[in-house]
Amino acid sequence: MNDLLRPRILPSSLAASGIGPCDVPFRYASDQSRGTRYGCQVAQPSNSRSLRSAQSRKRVPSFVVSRQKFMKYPGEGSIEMIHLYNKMPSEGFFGAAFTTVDRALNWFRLSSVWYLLFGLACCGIELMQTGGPRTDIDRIGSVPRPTPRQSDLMIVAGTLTYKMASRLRLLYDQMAEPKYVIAMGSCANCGGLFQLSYSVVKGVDKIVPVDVYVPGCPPRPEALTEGILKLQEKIRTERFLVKRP
Amino acid sequence: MEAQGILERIKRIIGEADLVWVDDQLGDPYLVVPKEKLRRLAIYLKGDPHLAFDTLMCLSGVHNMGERDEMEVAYHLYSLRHRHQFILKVTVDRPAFFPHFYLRVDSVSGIWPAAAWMEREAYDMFGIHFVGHDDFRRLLLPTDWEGHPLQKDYQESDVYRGIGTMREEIEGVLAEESG
Repeated sequence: MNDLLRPRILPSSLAASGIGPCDVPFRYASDQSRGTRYGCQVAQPSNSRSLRSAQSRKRVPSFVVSRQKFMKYPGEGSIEMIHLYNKMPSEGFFGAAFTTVDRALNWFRLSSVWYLLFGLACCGIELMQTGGPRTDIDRIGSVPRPTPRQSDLMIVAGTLTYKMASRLRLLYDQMAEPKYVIAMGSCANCGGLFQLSYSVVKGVDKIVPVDVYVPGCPPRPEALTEGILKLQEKIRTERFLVKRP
Repeated sequence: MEAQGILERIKRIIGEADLVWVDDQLGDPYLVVPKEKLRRLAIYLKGDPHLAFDTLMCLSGVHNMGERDEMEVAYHLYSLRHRHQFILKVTVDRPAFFPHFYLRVDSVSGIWPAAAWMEREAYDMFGIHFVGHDDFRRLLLPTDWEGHPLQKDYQESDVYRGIGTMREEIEGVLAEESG
């Protein structure tokens, strides 16, 4: 029964980059427990007649309890998650999960990191590509927002000038906590090519706190995707109701 | 009309005095005019039906810091009617004291409206004042910026609005390079 929640084989790129089964426990669990190869009961077709017959019939346990040992993350001990699956023949499976507040909140947050569109230079083109169909970061829950009020993440993509710096700080201040910043590309990291120029800010970390630095000039969409995955790892280890430094 | 013919026509109207014709085969020939004659010449170049320079293609500032410390403004003119072009230059000496008082050139934005933003840019980068401009202020840099960064002796300030202008890691590298 421990194998009940064993995940499907994920694409190797996703598996290597830290998107594990624990990100999607419900979907895979309900899919797999429907099968017969572990001796589970097969869900009945959902019409009223079979519902009545299923309720009247004496059945083996109506709750399936299974445990799965989750991956260890930095700063976190091993957490066992207990899933209770109530088999309701009429409407598939009703799932419940017990977890810690930290884990749940972090999972919600890291699965919907909406980013503010902040393309300043050629990195902005790669940022658009990252949101495009080829390197589709909608898959990991990141969608672009045109307003700071709805954004969790600011991807500073490109060369930041002193004239733009106050605008960037204003937009950052308008974002709601918790908020994160990714510095994308050499210019945003340290000034890059324009480090000795008079008008370019030598790294956006002089303006706002940066969580992840993505190197490259410009970084490929895969690199930015990995940056967002790194940010997800960071969010995963956060504590609830603890003020960020 | 060729550049030589244009030059002859200019000489006929404002005289040969103080005009410097440079044709060194290194590039297009150009005419250096004193700044007092610039405005009058510009009106003539646009208004004369045989010249009809109706387009100012480019206006650029140059800082020459050789034997003489001087600012230069180059005007690239084109005539859509006659399909010919001409280059004018004006030089202004840059004294050590009160440079902003001496760096004054007449504005041609009333004659060629295209000059309006290009003169603002030249002021922004080189600090050349254009007298007679309607809306004279910086074009690209913030309004509270100090100095004009394309001047060759421009010194970048350490801090702008509380933002350090030097990356700490590179500071040591530059110090090592300079000894």
